[in-house]
Amino acid sequence: MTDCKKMRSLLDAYLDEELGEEEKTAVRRHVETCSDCSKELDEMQRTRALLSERFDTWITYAPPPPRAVLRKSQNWPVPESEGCERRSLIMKSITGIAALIIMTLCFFFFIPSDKLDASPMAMIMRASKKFLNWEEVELKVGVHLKALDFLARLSDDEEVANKPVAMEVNIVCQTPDRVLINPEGDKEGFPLVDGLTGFDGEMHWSYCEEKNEVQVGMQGAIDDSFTITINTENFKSENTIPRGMDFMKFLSWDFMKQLHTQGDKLDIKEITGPFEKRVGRRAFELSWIEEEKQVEDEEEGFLEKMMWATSRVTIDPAQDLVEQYELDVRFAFLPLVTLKVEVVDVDQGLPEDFFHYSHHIPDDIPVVEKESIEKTD
Amino acid sequence: MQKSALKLWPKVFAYGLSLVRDRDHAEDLCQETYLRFFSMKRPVDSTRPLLPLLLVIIRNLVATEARHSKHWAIDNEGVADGDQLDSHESPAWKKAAEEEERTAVQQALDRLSPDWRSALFLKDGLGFSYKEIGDVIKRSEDSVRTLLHRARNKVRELLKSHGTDERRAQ
Repeated sequence: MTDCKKMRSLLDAYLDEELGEEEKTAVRRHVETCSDCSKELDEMQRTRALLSERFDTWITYAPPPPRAVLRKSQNWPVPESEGCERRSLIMKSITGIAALIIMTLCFFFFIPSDKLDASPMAMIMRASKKFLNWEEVELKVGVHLKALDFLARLSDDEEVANKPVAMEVNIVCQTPDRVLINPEGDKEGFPLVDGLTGFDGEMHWSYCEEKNEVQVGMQGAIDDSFTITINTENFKSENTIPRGMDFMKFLSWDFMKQLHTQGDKLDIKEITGPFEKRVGRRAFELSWIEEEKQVEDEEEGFLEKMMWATSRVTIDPAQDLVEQYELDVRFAFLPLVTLKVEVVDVDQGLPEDFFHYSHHIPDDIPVVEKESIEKTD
Repeated sequence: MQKSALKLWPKVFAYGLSLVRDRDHAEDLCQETYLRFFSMKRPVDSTRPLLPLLLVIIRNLVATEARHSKHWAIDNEGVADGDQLDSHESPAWKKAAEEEERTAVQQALDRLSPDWRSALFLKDGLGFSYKEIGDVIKRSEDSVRTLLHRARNKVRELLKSHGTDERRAQ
């Protein structure tokens, strides 16, 4: 009976051909001698046959690819001068591109400068101070734990994933799932444009003291392919992020030193995407019209208190699409300097104020200098 | 490469159907998937199979929609709520598939959550291995094995309650 129970737990994998030779032989021998298990196996096979038959119908009755897809396939890879085909695609592109541009710009705030102390900790401290009011910072511990989990999942290096980090900065960039358009004569405000999926992105920085390494994790669901060409005096690179895919980046401290620039100046030579390719010219402008707007909001207090930037995107009226709309991009910076020794052990239960935890961070944050860190030239 | 990708259209569509059940919706998702795929400026790695990539794209599209919908999520496991059984197929599809959709198998599949239904499709419809399924739905092999086991048991249970499985066996 025990044998039957064990064998039945393997029947699914047996039929799926996911068992090793030894287990497969054991199941086969058992089924040959056990009528109950043999009957069970037959029933399972019949269910599979029914399902396969059903799924075959789905495939068989699939509609043919529409013309738009066939046309697109003929032009693949995308030619430089392809025209605008679908309004929704253009609109979708804008949100993702704008958000990524801003995230990318933020990325470079953290690049070390040769004129200043180039240790990772000092660099992170400086970068964080650019954004944060250090007098009092409200932390969402739940977000912190999520961020740690995120890093642990992404990192194959268990040593890194399990070490408490000295500093972690978490940037959350989120755009609304609908973008408002300002048409003339609408008394109620702005009607919604269908089809916009928005952008959700997260970027994490962590410095592992044990390994003397800075890691950067980026993750986002984007609506468009995105190519960034960086052309600085010391560093040239081109990165393409595909459409519809999550993307992740990890950069070591050595890589960060390669990104070293003169006097914090960085020249992003070109930012391109299919949207711009399709219309064949610059059809929208992205402008940063507000920075560090401190807004109290009970529901999303943390995000908006830290920073609430609004970008304005202007579409070329000649495209007969949209005159103008605004895009809200929100950033949250989580300074976890002192949480190194305060990581909540979930197994021991959570404090009552778990989700509303305030922590005072002193102005004179000690900067840990590491002798082993080489200064950049 | 283009032809290879287009040949996979029916399978990608069927996978979309397993996720959203609505034929028109699945077709829209499939179209968007291919438009995205063909918008890639650089050729994809020709040494790797195209189908998983296309399936990941369409699944991400559904996941993005689900993230912005309060009604259901792609990762909800188990049996679908009753209100999910309402479908909005086009009249043409209804006419063509009306007979088949009355079968117990279709009804049983309709009762499953998108995650269970789509995993079953990947296994029994496309013959994917546990690992390949895991790559598409972002789960471990053990998790896939458990998920499939539960989904199949549920299908069998529903079929038994309908009597189809027994009739078929006779």
